[in-house]
Amino acid sequence: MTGVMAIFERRDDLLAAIAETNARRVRGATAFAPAFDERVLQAAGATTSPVASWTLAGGIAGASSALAFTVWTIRQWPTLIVSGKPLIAWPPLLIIAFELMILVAAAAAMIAFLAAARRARRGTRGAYDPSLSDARFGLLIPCGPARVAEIGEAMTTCGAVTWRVV
Amino acid sequence: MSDEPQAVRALPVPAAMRRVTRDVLATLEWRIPSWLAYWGAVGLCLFGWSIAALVWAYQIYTGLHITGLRHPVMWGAYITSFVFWIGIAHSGTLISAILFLLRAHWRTTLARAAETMTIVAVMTAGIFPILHLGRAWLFYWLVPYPNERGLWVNFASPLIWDATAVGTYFVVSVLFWFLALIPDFAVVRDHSRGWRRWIFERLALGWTGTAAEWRHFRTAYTLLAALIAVLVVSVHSIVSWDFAVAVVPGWHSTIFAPYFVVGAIFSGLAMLLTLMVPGRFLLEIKDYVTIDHLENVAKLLVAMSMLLTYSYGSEMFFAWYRGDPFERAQWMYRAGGSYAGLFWLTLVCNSVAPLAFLSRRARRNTTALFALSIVINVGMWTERFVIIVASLAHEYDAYSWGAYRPTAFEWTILVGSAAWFLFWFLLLIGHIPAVPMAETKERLLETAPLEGVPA
Repeated sequence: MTGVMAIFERRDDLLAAIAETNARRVRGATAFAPAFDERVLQAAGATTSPVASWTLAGGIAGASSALAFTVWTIRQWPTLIVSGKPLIAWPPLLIIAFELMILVAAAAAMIAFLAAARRARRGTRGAYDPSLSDARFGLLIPCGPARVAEIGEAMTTCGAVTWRVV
Repeated sequence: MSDEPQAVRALPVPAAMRRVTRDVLATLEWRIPSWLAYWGAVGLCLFGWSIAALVWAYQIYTGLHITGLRHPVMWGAYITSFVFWIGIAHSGTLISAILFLLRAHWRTTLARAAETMTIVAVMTAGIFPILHLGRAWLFYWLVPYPNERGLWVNFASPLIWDATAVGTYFVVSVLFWFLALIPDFAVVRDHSRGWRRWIFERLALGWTGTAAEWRHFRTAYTLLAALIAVLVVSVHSIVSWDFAVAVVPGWHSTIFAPYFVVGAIFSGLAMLLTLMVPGRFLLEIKDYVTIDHLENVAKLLVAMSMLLTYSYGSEMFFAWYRGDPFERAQWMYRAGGSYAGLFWLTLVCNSVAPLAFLSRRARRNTTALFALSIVINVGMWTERFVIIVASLAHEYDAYSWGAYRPTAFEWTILVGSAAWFLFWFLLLIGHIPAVPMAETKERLLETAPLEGVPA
């Protein structure tokens, strides 16, 4: 992929640059930030995440598999009734189900995050600048070789401290 | 109080963010005399828990008779310490997860230490049930697998609930802690060379900080915070049910779950002060963990102390009101029997001493904060000791009454567990960013005004 990687000192310049790329109908730009910032995420169109759905699925899977597993283990010895208590007593099993629900939901959230973040980084190889984790912002704009100079100039106008071709 | 750290309050945002990076990374570059103090403390702790490990080895060799455990008191200092350390783990979650969900931004700079404390406290707590087993190598019997008769573990047993809950709490706490560290690991990776870069490159898992990565990160972090917030309530409730489901006077009470949860948060907050009052000097983060942060913890301690006092009062009131002679006798025994000294010490430490924090002067005095945090920790250990031991020592029939006193071996292991806790805490917090950089920068961005940005 050919593109321009512009580095900004201030968040406001990055927001202006994102607006500029949108105005020029450049699609697929990737914004970089040193910290979570809702304004940058909104401007960059990063508004949804699959992590919540996977977490919900993990929670349901954890709770249902815990209930199924505990009931199945108890039914291995169906005659083992102690003190006339019901063989399958739901209150204690719900405790196990609750804990497993949390455990699997949390694991699903983490795995979904790692997978989604890995996918989000795809196509940015070689563009990353170490100053981006410190205090600077970045914008990676995919464009053909013919538009590199034009986009680069536009980024400088928006306040980019530097830009390079990637 | 302003939420921004004192060190960066007057700076423009880019300069403030750079300053945060520089200051926090500096905590990883140990300088003399901090280096000497740090490794001296780590070495001392290593020595402390090594002695305890030798005592444990001796206990395994000779048997549990070297402890004071005798009929009728078969749960003593080990189970007390298990409950105590699980309790310590709870304030990490309060500071990190619950206060995050409540948007209490002052928690930001304390969050890393609190989360690290949680993980290390659970690691410490997990040792005690294994110590208490005697035959420690059989701990895997708690794992649900069938024995040679095809019989599985009893899922209706509170001990299995405990193992499940504590195991879940440890795993989810580690995930939560590690997730928050990923962006900070990337900062260390980008500002280091050699072996450190090699390690942090792997720990950062390729983090680059794209907008989509931040979206996934925040969604996962918020969800984990919500999950861990309900988990923390369930874990100490389940620990309390180890006792409450048994028909033992002094244990069999419906108030136990909230009572234990409040006590856990109370003791955890006190431990956070114990660690951070000296720790902010040792780690050189006193511009980030300021007296304002410590004062807020002290305010929470007063609130928790009052809730705990209310729980004590309710327990005493219902022991009298419900008219059960055994319950009443148990309370009379606690207040005037073999463990009366510890009972009254508990009340002084947990209900009276924390009231000093009603005074602003006490809340802003680091010596008072540190001293009272120790007093509260002592009080919380004795509280659990009285609940567990006094109840077992004085059950229904006079012929089965007895007393328990921990032996020197048990005291050594208890002190060793504190050394184990401090050892891992120091080792971890000294090698990771001690203040959450990404979150501190987020706060700086959040409070910065926008300048002429097109809508």
